[in-house]
Amino acid sequence: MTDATMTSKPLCIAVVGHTNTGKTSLLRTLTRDSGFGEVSARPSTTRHVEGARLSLGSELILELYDTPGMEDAIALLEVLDAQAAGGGRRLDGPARIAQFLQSPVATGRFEQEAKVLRQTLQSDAALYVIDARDPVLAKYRDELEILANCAVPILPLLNFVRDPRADERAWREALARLGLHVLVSFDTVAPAREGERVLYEKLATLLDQRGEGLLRLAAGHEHEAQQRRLAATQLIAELVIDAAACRARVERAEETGVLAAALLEFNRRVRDREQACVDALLGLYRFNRQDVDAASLPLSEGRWRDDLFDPATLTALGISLGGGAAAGAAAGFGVDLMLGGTTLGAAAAIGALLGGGLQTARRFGRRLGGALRQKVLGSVTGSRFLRVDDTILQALVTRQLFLLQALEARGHAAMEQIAVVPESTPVSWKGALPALLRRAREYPAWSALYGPLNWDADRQQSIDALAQVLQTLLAPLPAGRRRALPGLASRR
Amino acid sequence: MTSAPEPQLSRFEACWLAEAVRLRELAAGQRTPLNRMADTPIAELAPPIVGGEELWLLRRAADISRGNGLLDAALAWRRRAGWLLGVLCGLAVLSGCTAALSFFGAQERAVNVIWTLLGLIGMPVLALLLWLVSSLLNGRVGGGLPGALWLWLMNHVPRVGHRTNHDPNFDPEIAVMHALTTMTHRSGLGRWWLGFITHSLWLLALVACLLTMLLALSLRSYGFVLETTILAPADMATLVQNVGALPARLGFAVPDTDMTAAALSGTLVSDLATQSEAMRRAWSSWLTGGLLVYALLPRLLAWGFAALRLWQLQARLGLDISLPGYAELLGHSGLPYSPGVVDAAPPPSLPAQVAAIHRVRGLRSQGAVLLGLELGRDILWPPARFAAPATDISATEVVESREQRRAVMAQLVAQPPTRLLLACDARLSPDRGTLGWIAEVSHHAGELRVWLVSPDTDAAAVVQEREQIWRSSLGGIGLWSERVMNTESMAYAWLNQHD
Repeated sequence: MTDATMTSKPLCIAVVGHTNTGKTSLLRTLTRDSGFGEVSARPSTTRHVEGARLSLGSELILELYDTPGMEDAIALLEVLDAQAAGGGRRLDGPARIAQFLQSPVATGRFEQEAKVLRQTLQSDAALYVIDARDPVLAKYRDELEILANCAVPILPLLNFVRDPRADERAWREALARLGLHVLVSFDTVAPAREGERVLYEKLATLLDQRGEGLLRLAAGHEHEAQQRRLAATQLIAELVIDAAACRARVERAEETGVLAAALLEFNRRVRDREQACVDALLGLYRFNRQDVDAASLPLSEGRWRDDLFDPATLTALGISLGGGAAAGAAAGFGVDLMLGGTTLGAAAAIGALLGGGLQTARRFGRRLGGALRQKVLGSVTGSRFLRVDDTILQALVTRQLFLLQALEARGHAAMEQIAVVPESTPVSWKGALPALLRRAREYPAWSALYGPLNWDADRQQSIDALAQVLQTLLAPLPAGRRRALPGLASRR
Repeated sequence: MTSAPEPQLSRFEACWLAEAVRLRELAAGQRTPLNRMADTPIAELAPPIVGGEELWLLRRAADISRGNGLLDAALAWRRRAGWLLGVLCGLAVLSGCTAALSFFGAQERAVNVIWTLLGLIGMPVLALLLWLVSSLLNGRVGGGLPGALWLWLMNHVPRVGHRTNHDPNFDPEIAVMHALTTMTHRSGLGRWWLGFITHSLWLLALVACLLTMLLALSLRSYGFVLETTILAPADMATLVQNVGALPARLGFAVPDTDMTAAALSGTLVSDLATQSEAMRRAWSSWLTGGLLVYALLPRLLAWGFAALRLWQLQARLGLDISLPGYAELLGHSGLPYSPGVVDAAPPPSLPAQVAAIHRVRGLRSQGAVLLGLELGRDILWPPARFAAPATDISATEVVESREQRRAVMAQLVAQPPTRLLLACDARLSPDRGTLGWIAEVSHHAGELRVWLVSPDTDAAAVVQEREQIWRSSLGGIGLWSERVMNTESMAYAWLNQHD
């Protein structure tokens, strides 16, 4: 490391607390790294002290240290009191802790607690993690009393506050009696939208002058969250534009099997394209496919469990099927068969195609196609066009937006996930959204489904416009303004 | 840094490659989010410094793109763009010359001045006006036709020496194109770039036209005429004066009324020969001035404006390090990702064990005691059944603090019970302190058992999971499952046996 990266010493925060309250989970969520440490439902999973770093750009701002849980506070406080009484001199808190750390019990019975205290002494502040579902027990009060001896600011953090069993009021009262009036609620599994900023702001308040970096970190992270959402909506918009604009031409469609094969290929391409978008979204939010697997998202191995072209998927998403399609639709539902650029409507064409077999479709095509050919096209004979139907586009948007929201709401801590019930309401198909997609339908060259793209500013502009529309469908993120404490100059 | 000869990258190209690498890494990153592009050796790159993140990202991107074909693709694109632009420039010069020659190359050498001027400036002025109007209507500057032509050629002229890529997920040429689109769109460079090309091509054509005209006027002799079928000669004179007024301010000559009259009358070739030198010069100057002032200068202004905007935007061009991809990269590169384990876990130690039942048999014990240990406030304690005076069970308050522990311990030492039942909250996590105390009190009772209490209202799954943890933890101190119970009736039955 060069000297330049060490211009200012980062803040050092010890994450402490009783065993099994979610200290490692907190670090995972704050660092957005689901691979940090080891998390389990069992107590005493973490028995060592491990650090993680948070930086803004390449400026190191915060070092968080995960510590083992404190497990024997009652006995430890007894030992500390005994040591203080036996010394003959009056010692202040840190001196008492130092005396304890040099005594033999610090490497014996209380080795785990000694690690916590040693780390806390070296830190600028401590986050005391509380499982808000637990009753306020005497041993927790003892833990806080011991930690208070380290003479660093302590910010109690109530975890699992969203659980119905959590008794936030009781904890607030108990902490107030211990002189801890500033505390923060932060659910590590499903953090609240502004939770991270509130946490950093409260920590900054405790740290006074030194907390300035935390405020910048919080603002920086919110800015990044907005950028991430913008990028996510652009990924989704690009997928939808690709699907909407696509118009696959099927030559010699009259011949047996040609149309069916083209349809299969078409479906495969749309599915693969959606999968690429899902992968990109997962990567964007720094989740691995395995991470999502455990969650109650309708994904398995990072893939949607329900096939996009299965009518049941659409029904589950609350998208109503056209009359004809419901009767005859099967695996290929939703691809709009076009005859020379004029849509017949997915419902009728594909319902007939798949419900009654290819034979029906051919007759169907000839009957209607013949009339159209004479009227509209004349020369284009024997070729058909496939394109993605509106219902499928609606399903695509609904699914991706659902995934995006689930990824945003999900902390990197969760092993088991609070159930996220998929909304059954499809994205509203009114206003700017279908209008933009209708426009995209007129430009087959905008679709990357069948081949490489050109440099096309209009396509990019449509993607941006669609992304803007998608943003309006999402709940707003907290403003990512770069804040500074009053009276403190922002360094950026 | 390798010392291999590398082509000089402009800032634009460096940013372009960075964008391509960023998009590539975002697309490929879901499997190894923190160790992207591990296949690319960039270890030589020093870590980023505060304030130097952008430079670091640019150099990193240049390094990576050299390895995976992005740089070659970008250079190929640049060559192609330059080559196509060259062709278009040639075409522009050619069309400029042709336009001039179509008016000054004729055999009869009688030049109809107003007709010629209109012919030469008509198209360029119209095109400029159209560009201006469409830009104003759209609220943003458009690219213009020649720029669009260049773009179309870029998209449609087959690539020379294009190799097919083996990786179906990653074609450098497409990646580069995609990055160019997003980057130029985000920065607003794309439109100005196309506009600049448009203006440059028009300017080139106009300069070529002007030079060709001057060349023709220098080396050949022309007579100048004014013709009209329906207009009055006076109107023609006014027109000539008005058109010439603006160029006159730059020093170009305006033919006077005599000259206009002479030009109007002389339509025969024989007459033209008699035109004076001054008159010819005046008309040449009038034509040149008209072309310069009405076609070339406005275009030059537009070109200059586009060039200025392009220059400004290029100068402002930079990486937004808060974009997804960069933020994570900077957070973790250079710095070791985490300080790691700074205080290692101690070797596992055997916890204090409960007293074996036979060891406490000799105890002069009496009665049964129920002890609540750290119970949730929602558990009513002691349960009504145990508190009934009919039983000889003594139920104590819930034990939590050091003082309570001491009091209970003193009581147990004084009067050891035959059966001691400790009730623990099944929803809490067992910890070393609690387990240690359980082991401690076990020495002061005939037999100790544990009852895991949980209110019925709670989610069964959570309780069950924690109960399993309790059971294995209790097993760790020697209390095996036959001495652990989880229902009130079992607890009561064990405590209330008369022996």
